[in-house]
Amino acid sequence: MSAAAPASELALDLPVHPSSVTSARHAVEDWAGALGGPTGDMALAVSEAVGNAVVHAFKGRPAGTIRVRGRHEGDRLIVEVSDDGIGMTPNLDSPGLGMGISLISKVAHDVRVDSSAGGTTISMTFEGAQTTATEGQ
Amino acid sequence: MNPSLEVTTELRKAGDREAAIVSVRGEIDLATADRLTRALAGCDQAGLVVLDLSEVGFIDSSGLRVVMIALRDFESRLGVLFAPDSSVERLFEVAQVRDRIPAFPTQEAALAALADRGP
Repeated sequence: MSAAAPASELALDLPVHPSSVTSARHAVEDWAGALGGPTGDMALAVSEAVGNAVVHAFKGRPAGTIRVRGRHEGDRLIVEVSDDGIGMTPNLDSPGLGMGISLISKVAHDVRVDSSAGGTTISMTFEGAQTTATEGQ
Repeated sequence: MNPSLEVTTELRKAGDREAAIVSVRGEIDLATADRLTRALAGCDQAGLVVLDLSEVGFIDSSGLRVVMIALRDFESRLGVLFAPDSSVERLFEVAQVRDRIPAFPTQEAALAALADRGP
């Protein structure tokens, strides 16, 4: 009997609450760890991205949902953190020094931010995962 | 999920000054950073403060903010401990503040060095 392959995808829908930072981070660590990814840097990046959403995304409006999606492509792990909030605006009262995106950009291979009045998506790519098996092997 | 962070504060004598040893175990993030903030706020009367992060398994910018505020508030009265190659050291390096952290290898080393500096 062969062992089950690690899940190639991750999907979480989280409430707008500080505990979601912890939940998301642990889930990503477990998922990425099973795939050989850089769990330390991914934990930091996801913590920053979800934290940004919790603190900033729903100011002045009812809380929505924070979505975390992960997928495995080749030797890369791609994690997207998205919200249906207000989009990114300048904020002088950030509880995290306003360094979230800067930290993410230093630990991820690639970062893309897509922000509008309908919400924000931060897409982060990390290298170093085990290569996905190709068809026929 | 319950956030996991333990913060304990111990008072000791260091020379003729009172020292507060704030030991942290667990993960410092948006859900738990306030606990550390409260513990450090209780040390404002201490002559010396040692912030022991050597048993911290994870820290993000929420925790970094607490450390940087402690650095501002306690100035030369503060010493910090963290494990080599840890999440703490990694964050300090990535955030480019490593050189600003008054780091010590042990609580005793921190107390001795800080006590020598005088008030």
